[in-house]
Amino acid sequence: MKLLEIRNLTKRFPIEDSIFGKPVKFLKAVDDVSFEVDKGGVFSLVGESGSGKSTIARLICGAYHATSGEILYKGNPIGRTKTDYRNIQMIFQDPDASLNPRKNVFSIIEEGLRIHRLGSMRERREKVLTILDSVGLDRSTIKKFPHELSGGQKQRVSVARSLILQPELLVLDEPTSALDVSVQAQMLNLLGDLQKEFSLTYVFITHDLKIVSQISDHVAVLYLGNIMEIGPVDQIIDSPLHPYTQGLLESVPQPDPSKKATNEILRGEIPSPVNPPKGCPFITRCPKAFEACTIKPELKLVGDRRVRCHLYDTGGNSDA
Amino acid sequence: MSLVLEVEDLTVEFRLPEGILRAPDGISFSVGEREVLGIVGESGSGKSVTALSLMGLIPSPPGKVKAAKMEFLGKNLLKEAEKIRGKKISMVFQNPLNSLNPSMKIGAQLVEVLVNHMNMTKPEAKEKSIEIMKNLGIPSPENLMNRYPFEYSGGMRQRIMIAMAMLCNPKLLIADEPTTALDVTIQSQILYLFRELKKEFETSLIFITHDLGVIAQIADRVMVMYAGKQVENASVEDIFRNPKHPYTFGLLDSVPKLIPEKRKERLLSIKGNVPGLLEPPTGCRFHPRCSKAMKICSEKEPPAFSVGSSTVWCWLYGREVANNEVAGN
Repeated sequence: MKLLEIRNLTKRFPIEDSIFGKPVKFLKAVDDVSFEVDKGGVFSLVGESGSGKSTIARLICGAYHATSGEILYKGNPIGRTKTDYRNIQMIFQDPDASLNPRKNVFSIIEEGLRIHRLGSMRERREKVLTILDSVGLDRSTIKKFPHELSGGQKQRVSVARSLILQPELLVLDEPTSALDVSVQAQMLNLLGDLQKEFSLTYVFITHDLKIVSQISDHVAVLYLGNIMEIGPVDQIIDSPLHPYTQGLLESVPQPDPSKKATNEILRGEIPSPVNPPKGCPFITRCPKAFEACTIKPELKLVGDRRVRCHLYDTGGNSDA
Repeated sequence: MSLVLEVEDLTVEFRLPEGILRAPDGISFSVGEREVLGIVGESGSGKSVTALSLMGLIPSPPGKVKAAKMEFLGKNLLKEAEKIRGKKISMVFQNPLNSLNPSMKIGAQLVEVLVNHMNMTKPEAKEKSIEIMKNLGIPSPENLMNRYPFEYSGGMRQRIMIAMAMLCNPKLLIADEPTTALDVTIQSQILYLFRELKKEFETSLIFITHDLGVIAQIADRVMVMYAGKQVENASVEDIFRNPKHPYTFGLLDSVPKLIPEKRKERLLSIKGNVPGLLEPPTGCRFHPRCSKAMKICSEKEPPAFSVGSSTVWCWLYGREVANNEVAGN
């Protein structure tokens, strides 16, 4: 069953006004993005900074309004049912910025229940304690303030806060980027366990392909607000088709001294989204660019996945 | 191989109102000519403070640097760091935007280094800066001299920082997490630049990072640090093929892999959190999180044991010594 369907989603931000205050110049952060998330699945959005991945997360959670396109939740436009935004919760990258430093752990986690007027004081307390157990925090944490906790513990509190309303969909925006390696592994294991325990659906946003490979079923590779390649994770990580996905994978430093990269992989940098290149968004850095690339390619079906690249115009017969 | 840097029993002490904090605490290492020493560890392991102490940049008070030996090409760094840093030893930091002056043109910042350290005139310094940037493959350096740092991307600013560090042709370059703030594709470009630079300038390098992938790509030898202590010193091949210390093991297992066989498998993580350094655990600092901890681990700090070509600070490799200790007590 499709829990979430994104159709032709576009978000533009005004960046320059005319002297009469009418916006004249726009930054296209998300450009005609469509994807579907199965119930119980883990869908990853991966890309470098400026690729629009966090904007998509905020659009799903209703923090931004889309310029055009639709977001369907269980087949209906999102936000139509009152409980939609209770069923969708978000976890942010930096727990220092997303936890209120003046509230203790109990009131941080309980706040959602209070706002939605669920349960009596005693029931809410009981619920908070149970959720602390599920995320692997000691019950004594309840009286502590965020500054008394380590980075990993703080992120566990964020997870507990998002789970207290028993959501169906979690949108996770780089939840492990601020953590140390050993704590990151604990967090990834915890997220995997919780997903099974509460039959959750994840939209997982990250820049780290190792984490994509570890946690997700499906993945979309974003570049300048466009999906470049989208499909099952096994296919995309093990045999990437798009030159950008290939470059991204080769750029991941391998923890193996015999696999030292010997040449520069992708030259240049991601262009500014204010002045995106004409034609294929990746044309400025692509090692395989040719004449056709001055016209923007469509997302085309190649096997089980879709690829935005003229190399596959003939339906995947091209040699990559 | 002759040594560029030799450090023995280095301790940096901070006297804080809450108590005395030591990180690093009694570490020893050396860097050979044209060698890359990788220092890897999680936050709070003392890797950045180690770098700053080599540069003589620990503020005193509250900090105090102590060492049995801290020698750079025969000179005592404890006494002469101010004369040596910037010229013979230079440093690249994590965030290039914080280390470049935002209100000065890039050219002026580069020229300043050469005028102060090498007694060059401004036109000479300008010519030399452009030459170095050309060698490092920075596009259109003439144009760049007249611009401000904010006009450039993070990757480009980091390249400028590296060029600035290389201006005086240092014998030792210390890079503290130079790629952590960058995107993966830019990170691989910067790592490539460091590798080229080693060939071009015959510089030794100390490379600090928390990313084991980056270490494998750049280092010749590796020092693993945990909670202010060094736990393992070994060649990069030994660290990845034949790790000895349970912490090194755990760290390697914690990294998600790209290979399909491991996909969706639970990661073997290290339990617990990094301890606070004001009251570090007794004995071996890793014992509360160690899956192989023995009785002695919580009682006595492990000395250095040589295993093959590696040096390990772990009682697992000194069972005989450990038994004698217990019997002696």
